[in-house]
Amino acid sequence: MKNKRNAIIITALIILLFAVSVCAIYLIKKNAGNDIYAAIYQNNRLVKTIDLTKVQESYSFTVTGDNGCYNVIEVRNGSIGITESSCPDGLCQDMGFISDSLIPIVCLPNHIVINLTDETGSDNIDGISY
Amino acid sequence: MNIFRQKQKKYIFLFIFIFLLFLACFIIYGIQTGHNSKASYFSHTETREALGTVVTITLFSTEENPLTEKQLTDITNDLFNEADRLEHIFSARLNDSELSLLNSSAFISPVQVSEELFNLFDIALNYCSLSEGAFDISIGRLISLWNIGSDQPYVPSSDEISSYLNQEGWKKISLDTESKTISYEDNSISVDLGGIAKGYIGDRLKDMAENKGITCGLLSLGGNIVTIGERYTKEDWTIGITNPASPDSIIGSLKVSHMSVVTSGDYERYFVENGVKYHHILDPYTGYPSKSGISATTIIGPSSAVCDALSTACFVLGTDRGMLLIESLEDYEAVFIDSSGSIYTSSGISKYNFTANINTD
Repeated sequence: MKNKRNAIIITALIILLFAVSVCAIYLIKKNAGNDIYAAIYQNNRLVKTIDLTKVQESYSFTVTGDNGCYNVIEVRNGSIGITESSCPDGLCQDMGFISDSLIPIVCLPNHIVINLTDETGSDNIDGISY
Repeated sequence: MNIFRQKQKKYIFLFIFIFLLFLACFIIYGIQTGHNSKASYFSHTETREALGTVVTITLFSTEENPLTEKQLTDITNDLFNEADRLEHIFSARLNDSELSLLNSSAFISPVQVSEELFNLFDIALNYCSLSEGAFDISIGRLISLWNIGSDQPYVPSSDEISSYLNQEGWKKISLDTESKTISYEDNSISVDLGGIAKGYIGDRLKDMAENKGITCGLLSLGGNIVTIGERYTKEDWTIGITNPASPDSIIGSLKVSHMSVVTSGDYERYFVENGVKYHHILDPYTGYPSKSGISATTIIGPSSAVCDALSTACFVLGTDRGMLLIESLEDYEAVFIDSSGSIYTSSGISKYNFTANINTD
């Protein structure tokens, strides 16, 4: 009788430990690989980095430069984009929001580059020709 | 006594079992993460504004060719410096570039130029000829008249266009191989190397990286892709081709090693005036943005300079004549996308495993 009870306890313990270690491994992996950082450069100088995975609520801020030029940058959970710009062509706004490291957002007239780095890599694509 | 021993044995087995279970879990975890992390390779990536666009350099240290983080950083810096140096030779926008000085005096008398400028003129004129002038480096005056991609683009009148038009102007440029001099027949010629210089600089950066011991890397010069060696996994690199109808998505992908992939598209640089979209690829025969019906041309081949020139030439030539030009060249393959979204590929494209993305959004 006692043996049987012990066996049940031991089996339950093993299953519990197994489940806990699988969960732990899953969580460690999830946290290690999925951070996406946005780096914002102005005149090739890094002005700001943002961890896009930690953004809870969307927000905007403005980067100003020489001669009154400005870019309004909107940050969302997992993506970033330029929503308003003083540049004449507006190509930076046309690029929309980016969520991977393949193509940076660029505003050449205002010398702004927004570049994402993600450690997991996206869709197994190494580069994009454009 | 006996019962106690048995019990003890049982517990020992139990602990060994649990211990092994944990060990197995961590070994599996270790193998999985080690497989795609720093165990066998690592890379250094830098993005900078250069060459009037954005340049990204990624260099790898691999198992067969281990390099230190510092070596990768130093070589990356050297490559960016070389790009700046070459820009000061080839840029038509910089007033003090060697090209600008040449443009201001080559119609008076032959000008002796640097080896780099001479080589690039040599390659460029060869492709002006092969494309029958669809790629023409002599239309610098037209390009600065339109000024597309600058702060102040401008739609010229038809009179202005015809007075700036200089069909087959490239034939008025002569090179002297002996003396390394360049001369223009008259002052209607102003050379703009915008359709080939980025490609040529890509080739020079690749050579430089290889000479400094890099065997694996990926360069993007404003979307001109140059691959150095094979991918760090000893497979081909996967390169996406931008969907011209929605430039934030890709229309297909290619598998390449050692090759360059260059795309010309009407979505890259353009401006809109009175509801009309004017893109940056001018037809040297009309003086207006090319209306060949093509939206994007992608060329794959060993020389990035040649890919660059061919992508512009094919854009202007259109699908039929463009494909004839590509089929006449052994080492170069192409993917064209027309304005209706149809995809055209050259006969040898299968070696790069081109796959179209059906699920583009």
